[in-house]
Amino acid sequence: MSTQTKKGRALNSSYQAGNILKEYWEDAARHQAEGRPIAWVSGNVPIELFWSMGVFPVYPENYSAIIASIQRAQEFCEEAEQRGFSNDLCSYSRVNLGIILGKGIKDPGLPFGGIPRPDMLITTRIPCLIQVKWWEAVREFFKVPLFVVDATMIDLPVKEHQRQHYLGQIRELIPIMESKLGVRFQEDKFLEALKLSDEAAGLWLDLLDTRAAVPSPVGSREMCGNVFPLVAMLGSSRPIAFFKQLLEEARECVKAGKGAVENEKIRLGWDNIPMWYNLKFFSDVEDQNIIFTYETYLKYVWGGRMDLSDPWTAFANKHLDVWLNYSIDQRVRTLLSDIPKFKLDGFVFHENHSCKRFAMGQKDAAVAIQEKLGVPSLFIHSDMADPRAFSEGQSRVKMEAFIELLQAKKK
Amino acid sequence: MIQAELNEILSDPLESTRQLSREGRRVIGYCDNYVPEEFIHAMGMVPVRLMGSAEHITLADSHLPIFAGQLSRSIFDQGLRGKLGHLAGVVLSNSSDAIRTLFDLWERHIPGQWVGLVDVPAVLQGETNRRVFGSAMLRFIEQLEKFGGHSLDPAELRRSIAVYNENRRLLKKAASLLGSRKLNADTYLDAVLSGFLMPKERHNGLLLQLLENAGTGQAGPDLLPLHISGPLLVDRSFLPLLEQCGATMTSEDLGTGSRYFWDEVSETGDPVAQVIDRYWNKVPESYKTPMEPRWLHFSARLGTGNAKGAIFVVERYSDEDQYDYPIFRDRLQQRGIPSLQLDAEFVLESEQARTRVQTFVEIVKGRVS
Repeated sequence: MSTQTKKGRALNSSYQAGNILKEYWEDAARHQAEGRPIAWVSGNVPIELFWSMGVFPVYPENYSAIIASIQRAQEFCEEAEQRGFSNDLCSYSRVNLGIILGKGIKDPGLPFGGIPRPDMLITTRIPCLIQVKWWEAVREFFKVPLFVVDATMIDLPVKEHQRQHYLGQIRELIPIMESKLGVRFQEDKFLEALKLSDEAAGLWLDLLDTRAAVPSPVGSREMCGNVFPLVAMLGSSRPIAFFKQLLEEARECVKAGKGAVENEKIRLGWDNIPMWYNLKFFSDVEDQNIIFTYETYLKYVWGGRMDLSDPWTAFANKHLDVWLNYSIDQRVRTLLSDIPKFKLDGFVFHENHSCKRFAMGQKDAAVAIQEKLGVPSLFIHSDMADPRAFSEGQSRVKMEAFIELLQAKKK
Repeated sequence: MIQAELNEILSDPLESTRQLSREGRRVIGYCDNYVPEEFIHAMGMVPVRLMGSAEHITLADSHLPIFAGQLSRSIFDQGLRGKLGHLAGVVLSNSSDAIRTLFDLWERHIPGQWVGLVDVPAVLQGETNRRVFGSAMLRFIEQLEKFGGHSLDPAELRRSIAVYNENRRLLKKAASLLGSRKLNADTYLDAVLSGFLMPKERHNGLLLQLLENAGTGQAGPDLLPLHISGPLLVDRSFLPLLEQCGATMTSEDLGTGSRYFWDEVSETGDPVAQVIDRYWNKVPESYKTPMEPRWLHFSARLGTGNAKGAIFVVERYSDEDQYDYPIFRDRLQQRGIPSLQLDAEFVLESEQARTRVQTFVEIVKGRVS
């Protein structure tokens, strides 16, 4: 999502990411101009449902990340804070509320001409409870219907009662969308959307798997820029062609032994949402023959595979099986399995002030991977969108010391 | 006399609950208004609220980030330091992401102590959530029965419901006396808080005595009536501070106040189902949606106390309450009622808080006169 480019992409197809993002926001505006419904949604909502019903899912979270990447988050955070929203609150929400309560969502100075007005608000507790509170604040302004899909945290495999909880709410949501938004649910279209979603997710996960190769074909900075279609477009055909091209290229790189970083020496993993205003953090590391080649945020937050022989069960499983909804034990088990697979030498935990659910349990995970795998970790204290929480000098010093430790360990 | 007893109980909350353990009671610590105490009580145990503390955190910071908040960090710190070792068990919930994490951490790091989980939905509407809410409560009963080694007896549960309902009625009576200024605010707060630390039967006795004597220590009529809101208010120095600034609390909708005790359980029909109904329908906390019933309770309480302004005491990192504050503030503004938010980390007594309260009281008095 960053617009900053320091050096070329490892995969040529990655250059399409910016266009896809632009098209998405332009399509949203066009959809509204044509009188069709817009829902403001959040991460981990039942996205396939919206695409299949002709409801355009607009992601203010993504918009906040864009604002952060163009170095404008602070002004909107401050706007929200002046209106009484604490600076301890999620920075995505502060950016969004700052836009709404400041010059408004149609301010011509905003990227892509602003954010289309919502006809409905749909969110879920799957990533966090905060999202629900954010949407309540947004509803206070727009006075449109709000639906929240609830879920309790899971240990895999997902339990039947959790699945039924999820699906029961989806069955309630559908007629509400039909009556409030004037759309119609058609199961065949929904099942088609699930197929498209699963195909895209399969390609994405295969792409991530290519990064287990040594050297890794593509690093975190580039992949963070490529993830958007997985967040917002699952259930439409758009992500498939893009991910297919990325995967083909990555496989060619692996076959040719071509890495994203020359002379790759150290491999790292990353936990939590990146600092969108400072994706350079990743590329600065790459300059030192080090690559970030694994991210919990890219692997376990957005797209899961579905066994479509039982589509509704698969749909529920996929949406509940999300890192942010995992217990600490589940997170630890997952890392203990993935770190050897991706041959990681070290792990960086972003103790993200704004994504508390993500940050809970990180310290236990760090201890577990050190004790069980001998893999050391580093904590960076910062924020995903608010640059005021990031201390450049302190983080650089910590990172340098960590790299020295890993280099010494490798010798 | 009663005040002295309340003082003693509240001067060292953990010691008060330790005393119960020494008396041979099975004491269960909990920390959320959605933990159905009636079930615990009917199983022959004594539920007491984990209030956390303002003490310096030592061990918990190895497991939780600072932004998990003082409540969860301090409770876990107490657990890790063995200060809660006298408890037979602990019941946690998903009231916030931090408290839900505490459940995982408790299981991982304090394995010798039983920990239960009340995992009810955050969304309090819709048929599915209603059904799931009930199932989650039934699963909690199963946990309790397994831990207690016997089944929940419906007759015992009816008795527990009666005890808890009486407690709620007495506390509501105290709240009405607070509104009519026949009960001092600090005595009222002590009366409410002490109930979290002792068996409800004993608390009912204390409340009866307190209410009989009410009216003798009236608040001065010149004090500005204010409404106090927030998830928890355990700093007993705050209300005296308020009084020194020329105001008093005449109503509240605190999580450790009326939101805790306002709703009763119906005493007819299936007692398990009625307890579940009560928790589903109770005044919702800030971490539940929709918020409208909470706003209605807030407005009604504020009106009863004839409050001229509202102070929101919001714990730092209590995100749910921090999102609500600007909304409630704006709604109050539309009704011409000013408000103030005070950030707390358990402790409110500070020069900064005093100055802010003083200024606020002067502004409100200026508007009233």
